[in-house]
Amino acid sequence: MKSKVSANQEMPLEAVMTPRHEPPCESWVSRKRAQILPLGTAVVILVLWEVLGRTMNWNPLFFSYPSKIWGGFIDLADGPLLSDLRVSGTEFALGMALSILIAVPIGLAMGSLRNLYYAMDPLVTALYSTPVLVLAPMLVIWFGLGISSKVAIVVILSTFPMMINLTEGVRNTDRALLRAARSFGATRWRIYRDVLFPAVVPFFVTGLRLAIGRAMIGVVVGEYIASTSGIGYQINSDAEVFATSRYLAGVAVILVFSVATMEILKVLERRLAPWGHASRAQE
Amino acid sequence: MTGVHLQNGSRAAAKMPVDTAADPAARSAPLIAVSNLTFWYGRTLVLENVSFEVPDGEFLSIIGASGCGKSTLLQILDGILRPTEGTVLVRGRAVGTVRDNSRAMVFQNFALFPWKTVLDNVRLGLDYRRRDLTRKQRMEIARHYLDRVGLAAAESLYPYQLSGGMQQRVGLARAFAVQPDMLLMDEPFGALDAQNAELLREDLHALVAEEHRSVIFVTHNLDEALQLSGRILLMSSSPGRIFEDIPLAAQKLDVDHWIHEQQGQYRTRIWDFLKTEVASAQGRQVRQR
Repeated sequence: MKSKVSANQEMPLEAVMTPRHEPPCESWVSRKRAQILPLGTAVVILVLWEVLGRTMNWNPLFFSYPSKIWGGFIDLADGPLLSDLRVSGTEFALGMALSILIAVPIGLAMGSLRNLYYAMDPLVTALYSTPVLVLAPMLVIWFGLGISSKVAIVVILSTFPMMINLTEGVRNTDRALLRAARSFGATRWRIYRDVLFPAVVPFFVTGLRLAIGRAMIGVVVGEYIASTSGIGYQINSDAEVFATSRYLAGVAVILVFSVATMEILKVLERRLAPWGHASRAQE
Repeated sequence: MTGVHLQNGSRAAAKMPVDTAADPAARSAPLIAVSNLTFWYGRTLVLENVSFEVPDGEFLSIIGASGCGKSTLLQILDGILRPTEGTVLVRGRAVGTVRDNSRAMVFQNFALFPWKTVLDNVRLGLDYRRRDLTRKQRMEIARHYLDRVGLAAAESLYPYQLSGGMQQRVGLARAFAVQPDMLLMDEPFGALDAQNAELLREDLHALVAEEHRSVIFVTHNLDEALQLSGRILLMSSSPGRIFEDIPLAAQKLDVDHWIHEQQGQYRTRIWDFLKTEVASAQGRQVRQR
């Protein structure tokens, strides 16, 4: 039985604010509008961009448009794109893995142990809110031009949003649930397994989303500063020689990667925390 | 005996073993005996010199103004908080010294785990306390109590998909499922609308009678207390003390007489006390500002 029993259902704000008297429309377009509308926006922008590019005859050194960028992409794909993606992907994956390994235990411990929280919170907050990218040149000096320096940049950028979110997740765990677990005789391990870990999942996913965005900035900026390969390096090289179409094709690759990663995260969140979306909708 | 037999899914026949079961002296002791209990929270004296006993099978309500320490008292009885002074004995043994199955709590805001299905929520206490049973047996017991509160069809739903009344039914099923000697209920119907609360009171009354459980029921609602209880403890506040112990069970035997005459008299008496308590608490708040 999967149907909802009560009226506690998620209701769009629009429906609450504008009472409707006609029966709800059940057409395919109406049901799929959450997917159709953003696609529509993208198509309109691309068409306008293309028309402007073809009609305005702007200097191709400073401006490009979708069909030319597609050409640039083909050019990139025939050339260094795959090896650049492999390098950048490795930097991203290694950096994120290390960040998770650092952030999860420290974040959970800071949330659970009050003294550790008091001791560490100002430092963590400072490192999170400071634009630590300014440390990137020093990290390049320390770790060299290879992937190590980019991994280090990703780590200093991505660790703290996850750490802060995990700490807050533990600290915001519903006290009534902890009390209920203890009241029914849960051991310390079962309290972690049944209460704290599930309670922090939505916070962790939010931290992960922030961390991924920052990691991509870290990879690209790290490669901009000093590198011999990678998608950031490629974009920078193309920009320097005014290969605008190839340069924008590189940007588009990053854009597609970002959107795909965020969509995967959304699916992951729904799988890991099926209760989270609806309960947040109620708040 | 460790197994729990559910015949035709209709009734949990066997009682859970309690650590004290083998000790005849412990069995003859009152289910709960609180003596000279005092509790300080930081520099605030919350409870002072509270003493009472609860025998098997009694439905005891505790009434008092907000902040009189009723919920704190319940948490001490549950072993979550430790008394600063005094003792709480469960069947003659100090509470918290043994992990037993004598008590189960029902919470005001249900305290259901949002990430667990209804069935898994009901199974929770069994999973923690009854590792001697197989998973299948625990499921069977949980399903029985879920059915008993009328939510058999909702077992695979999550709490957010249920109304408040249904969520508290799950809370009741979870507490009954561990088959405790005593239920500790902290304003269990306080968050519900009047109709759902009335329905749940009827169900609780039936379940308690059917399963022969004792109950300590903390409430603000004096009509609720008069309707359900065999005895009422009236608590004064700042610090919380037992002001009056009102036995109702004997009068309730003559149901018609009770309903028409006695209930009204008791209601007036308790309400007169509560009015003074609430007014003096408000006076204190104003002075503190």
